[in-house]
Amino acid sequence: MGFSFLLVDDSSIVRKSLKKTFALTDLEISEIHEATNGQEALEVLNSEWVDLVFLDVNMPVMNGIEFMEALVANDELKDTQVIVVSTEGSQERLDRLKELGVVGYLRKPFAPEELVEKVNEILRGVKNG
Amino acid sequence: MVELVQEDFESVNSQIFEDWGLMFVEHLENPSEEFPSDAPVYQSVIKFSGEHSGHYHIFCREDFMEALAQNVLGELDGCTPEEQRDALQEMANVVCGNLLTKLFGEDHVYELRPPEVTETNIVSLNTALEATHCAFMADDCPVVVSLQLEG
Repeated sequence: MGFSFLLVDDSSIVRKSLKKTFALTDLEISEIHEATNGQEALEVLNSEWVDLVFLDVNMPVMNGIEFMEALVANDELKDTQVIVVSTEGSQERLDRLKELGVVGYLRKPFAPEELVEKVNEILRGVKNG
Repeated sequence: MVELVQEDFESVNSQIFEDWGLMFVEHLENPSEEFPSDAPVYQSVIKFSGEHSGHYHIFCREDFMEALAQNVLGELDGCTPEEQRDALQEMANVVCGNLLTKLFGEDHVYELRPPEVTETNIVSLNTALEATHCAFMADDCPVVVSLQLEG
C-alpha cells in the first residue's frame, strides 16, 4: 500500500509538474488528490486519508495560513503532515506556518531532488510512527 | 542604489527562467526589434501590495509560452493553450515572490494577487521599457520583464 498525497495549489501547472516529478521517483504512491485552495483541501481531508499535504500559501478563497489554522483547530485532522511549497519569503509568515505545525518548506523554484529528499525525510518519520 | 536594484532584478529573473523554466537565457539588447508590430504580444501581470506596492510584468510571444509549458511539464508533443497560459502565470508568480524578497528583504509581508495573462501589443511593451526592466532571449524567444512600483 503506497502513500496518499494531496497537492494544494491554485496553479494547475504546478500540480501537474509535481505529479510528473513524483512519477519519476521510486516513491510508493497509491493516490494523489488535488485541491485549488485551502477550502477544497479541507473537503478532501474530511473524506480521504492523506499522508502528506503539499501546500501553497498565496491562494484565493482560503490561503495556506488560513488552511493551517483550520487544520489545527480540527481534532481529527490536526496531525496531518504538511509541507509548504511556495514562493513565500516573508519570515513572519514562515514563522507563523511553523508555529501552526508545518513539517517542511520548499521555496519555488526547487530541484526535483530537493522535493524527493524532503518527502523521504518526512515519510520516514510517518513510517516509523 | 538604482544600480544594485537593477542588478538584483536581472539576476533573479534570469535565475528563475533558468531554474524553473529550464531555459537557456541570454541578454537581449534591443527587445522591440524582436516583437513584430503585427504579431500578438502576451503579458503576464501580477500585482502585489505591502510595504511596497506595484506590479510585475512578463512580455513575450506565443513561441515563448509554448516552450515554457513544454519545459515545465516535460512534454515534447506540445501543450494545450490553457497549459501555456498557466505556465506563464506561474512564472510571474514565482519570479515576483522571489524578487520581492531579494529587493526588499524577508521582514515584510506582501499580498500577491493571482497573475493574469492577456494579449496586448507593442505599445504596452514599449511603455514597460520605461520602467525598471530587463530583456533576454530564453530558449531563443524574446522576453521583456518589468517591475513598476507605485507611489
